[in-house]
Order: sequence, then structure tokens, then C-alpha cells
Amino acid sequence: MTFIVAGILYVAFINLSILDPFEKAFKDFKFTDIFYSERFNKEQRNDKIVIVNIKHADRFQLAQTINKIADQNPKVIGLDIIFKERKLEFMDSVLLDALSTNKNIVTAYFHNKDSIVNNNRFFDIKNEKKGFINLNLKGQNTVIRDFVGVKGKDNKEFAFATQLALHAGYITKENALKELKKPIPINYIGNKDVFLNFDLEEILELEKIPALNDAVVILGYLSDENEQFDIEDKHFTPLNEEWVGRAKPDTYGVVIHANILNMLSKQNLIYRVSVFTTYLIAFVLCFFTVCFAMKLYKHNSFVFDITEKMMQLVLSVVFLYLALLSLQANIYVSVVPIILLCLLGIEMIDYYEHLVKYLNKKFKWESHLL
Amino acid sequence: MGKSFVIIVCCCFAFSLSAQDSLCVFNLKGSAYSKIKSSFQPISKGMFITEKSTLLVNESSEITTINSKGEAYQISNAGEYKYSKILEHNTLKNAKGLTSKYLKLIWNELLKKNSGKTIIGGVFRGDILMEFPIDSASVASSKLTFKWKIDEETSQYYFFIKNIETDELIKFATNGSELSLYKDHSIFSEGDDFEWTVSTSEYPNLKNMPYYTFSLIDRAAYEALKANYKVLISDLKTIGLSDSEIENSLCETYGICKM
Repeated sequence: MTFIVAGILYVAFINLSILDPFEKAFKDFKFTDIFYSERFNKEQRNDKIVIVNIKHADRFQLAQTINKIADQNPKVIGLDIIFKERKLEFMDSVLLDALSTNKNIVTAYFHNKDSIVNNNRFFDIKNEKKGFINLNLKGQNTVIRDFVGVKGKDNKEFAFATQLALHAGYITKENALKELKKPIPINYIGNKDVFLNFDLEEILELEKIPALNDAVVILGYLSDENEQFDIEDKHFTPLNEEWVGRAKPDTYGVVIHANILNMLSKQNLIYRVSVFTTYLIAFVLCFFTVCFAMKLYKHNSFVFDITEKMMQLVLSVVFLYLALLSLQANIYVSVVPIILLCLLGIEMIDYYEHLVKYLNKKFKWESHLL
Repeated sequence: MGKSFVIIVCCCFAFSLSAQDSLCVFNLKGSAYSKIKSSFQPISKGMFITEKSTLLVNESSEITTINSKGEAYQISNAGEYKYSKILEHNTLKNAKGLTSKYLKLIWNELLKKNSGKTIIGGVFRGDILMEFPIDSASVASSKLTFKWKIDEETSQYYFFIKNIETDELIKFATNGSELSLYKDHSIFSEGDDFEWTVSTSEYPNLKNMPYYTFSLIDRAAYEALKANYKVLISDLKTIGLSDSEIENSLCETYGICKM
């Protein structure tokens, strides 16, 4: 019965387009975001994925940086940058030279509605390796939680992070085609402070940086002074300190790619429990919760009334704890329907009583509640 | 038998070599050195510290290194650390597990400990820490002492001083509330104007910082400025203030200082 009422509530209130803002507001909220927001995961850092902050450097500086990095034998260099327009002839030529000389470069492009935005054709190079940098998925609101690694006709398009992982030898093409076609939750390990990162000037100034050897180096934007007020290429992720009502974007695009790459490199993919299984778990737990609540109600309705809210609080805390524990074990369960159904089940004991009495009167229906 | 023994010894040797690890310098505030035998090498981010090297951490410096598993080792006290000693500073050693973090969160949520943030509608760029010498002061001294307010939660302060004429800027890190500089420092030149500021951030946006200015003057200029306050000085003398007390009050009130 809880399922029926919950279903009616869902259809009547949430699914009506007139109340769409209500639904949207709740879509941005996931209980499990607490796991990343409060840094419940085991603290870890990564020096095999290095981020270079390009700030607002010109193309000449970028070319110099690429060449300097390439000299130190990284596995792959990823450019989370789009060179859409032509600029100065000299600078463009120097950049093109850097892109074509170094063979282990992965470039970026993105889908914009029905079109594709690529680097300017001037920067086309032979056997170019490129990956799409789109992070928005169908049905995903502003918070970036999921990632699709392979898409397009005949699965020929690879995401930027997938391309980096493929060329660094972290995953195989077969593996990518098998595992990364469906959206998978991103296993965030942290913000930019968990990755070894350098400013462009540091790369140019330091004679040698041993950590770049055999690492995946991603060039992207990580603010140019005054980071606190900088929102260029910054997005909402579960790492946001405010897990409800996020106001400021928290993570730079390049850090999101680095997190995805870290997840792929360590084969730390999160298994998402299917919707059917989630609702099956919700049904079973709701059944036992209602049974327990009925027994308590029948035994002493006064005690039930006093402890009802307390029971709901304890159940929410326990279920959320279990969901976080499973997330720690790389299993993602959407805990909201489980919690809501159980809470609704306890809330509806009074209505059950009336219903059972009515059924008993009319059809001689017997129940544990009477 | 002999061949097997050689193979086993070789394998053991190879394993012992592969067991050797190194730590990558992940973050460095201040300065540190790596010592191998008797040669010193300054450490920078992205370098590796091997088992053979000894780490020398300077005063007020902090270094974070990580191993191949991504576990961090943080050292914030000055001293000499051998490789094995560095490994004792694992940040995970005192890290709390999911259960305790979760229970703490629930407890804080129940008590609404995280609510009640101050919200203001206006521009506020932080407190001005500088205290002495006051803004727009004229200073005649061979030793310049700067003082500022300290904050209970902050232990490290960054002092910036800039010669406005030459644009030369220097930065000092200190853990106290004052700093003395001598006039023979290359940045100082008599007759020049300077600006100075104190920040709790190591790399603040210098364009957006509040500054105090002062001019470095000679004794003659100081006496000339002091002469403008003849009447006040005689009044202060009448009420019984000594010469040094009068000079102090001129410095604190009107910014005419002889330190």
C-alpha cells in the first residue's frame, strides 16, 4: 500500500509539469554526495596524473610548455583546450609545430547540440588523437556525477579522459567499449589539491621535473590569481562543500577529467545498482519496517506515537550509513527511494488501521493490526 | 644445486632492489634540501626523495611527499629526516574512518553546529592587520620596525614591502607580530616612498591588498617636520611628558617617526 500511495504522490505531485521546479530542485540533491562533500573517502593523492595550469597564456607560451613537458618523456600530454580561431600567424605556426612534433598528444573537441566544435583546421595534424570534453549527460542536472566514456555512431567517439587512459595504457579499447558505453558514477578522489599540479611558469622555469617522466600531463585552466572569485571552466560536482543548495561552482573541468582518469587508471569503477534492484530492496525494507511499526502500534499505540519520529530519524541515519558504506566499497545505491518509502510506511500506520477496519467490516479481512 | 643457489641469490637481490621506493615531493612551502652523502640539492615540487637521501627541512617550511600508492607524508617541523623517519609522518595514521566522520556529521547536523554563517551585503576585503608605523608616515631611522595585529588561528604571516620608486618588492615570512629591517638593505634609499602590507596568505593578490605607505627621510627632514608641531610639543612638555614620550606620541598620532 505504501508503494501505491508513494506512486500516486509521485505521479500527482512530482511528475506534473506545473511542479517541475520542485522535481528539478530535488534532482540536484543526492544523499550520497555527502560521501565526497565531507571527504569520507580514504585520503589519497596522485602524482602520475599531473595538471598544468595554463592560466591565460598565449599560444607561444603554450607551445613552449608543451615542448618542455614532452622533453621529460611523459606517457601522454592532454590538452583540455580548444584552439577554435586563428590568432597571430607566428604563434599559431609555433603551436602547430609543437602539436605535430610531439606524437603523444591528445587534443579536445566538444559537441554543441548538433554540431561539433573542433580546433581550427590549421591545427589539424596527421593521426590526431582527440576526445570529447562534454561532461553534461542526458537527464543529469548541473551537478556532474556521471561519465560516459564512449559514444557516437558505431561507438567511435571516446571521451577525453578515455583517450588519455587508452594512450597511457591504463585500459584497453575492448575494455573501454565494454565498460564505458553506459553512464557510470565518477569516483572522485578530491579537488585539484590531490593531484600534482604546476603553473605554466613553473614548468618553464624549472630545468627538470622528474615527476613528469612517465606521467599523464593534462594542460587546462586552474584559475589565474584570485581563485576564490574565478568561475571560468568551474563546475558543480559532489565535491562541493554545500551538498544541498550549492551556490558556487567548485571544481575545474580539468580536475574532473583528472578524477575520471584516476578512476580508469586504478580500475576503480563504481557499480551502480539497477533501478529494479533498488526498488526491490526498498520494497523488502519497507515491508519489514511496516511490520515492525504495526507490531509496536498494536502493542502500545501511545509508545508508537511518541517514538514514531525517532524511529524515522534512526532509520534515515542507518540507511544512509549503509549506502555510504557500500559507496566506499564502490557500489552505488540510490538510497532516497529506500528512505522515503520506509518513512512513508511508518507515517501511514494510522491510515492502514482505518483501511483494515473497513476491509474487515466489508470483506471479513483479517489483519495482524487488529 | 649451485646454479639454483645463484638464481635464488639473484632473485633476492632483484627483489630487494625493486622494494626500494621513492617519495615524490607533492607540495612544498618554504624551502628544503635533499642531502646525499655530503652534497646538498634544493628540493622543488615534482622531485623524488630516494632511500639514500636525507631531507633537510628549514624553519617555517612544510613539505608533503607521496609514495607510489598515493599515501601522503607531511613534515612541518624544521629538522633532518632520513627516509625511514619521513615514513613515520603518514597523514593517514591519524585519519578517521567513515563511521566516526559520519557520526560526527550527524551530531553536528543535529546540533546545527554548521549553521549561523555571517552573511553580509557589501564589499569586505578582510581586516587591515598593519598597526605601526601608521599609514602615510615619515620615518627617519636606521632600523625600521613594523608591527601588525595577529590572529589566534594564524601562525604564519607574510610581510610585503615595495619601493614605489623602483618597484622592487620583497617578501618575508614570519610567525610573529613584528619585523625589523635595517636601512642598509638594498631596497631602502633615503627620500624614497614605500608601501607595505601583511597578509595571512602566502600568495595573496597583491593588486587587491590594502597597503600602508611611508617615506624614508633623513634626520634634518625629521627635525623640519617636527618644527611644524612646536606649539603642541611645548604644551606636551608643560604637562610633564619627556622628550621620548613626545616623540612617540608624534609618531603614533601624526606619523612623524624617529625610531
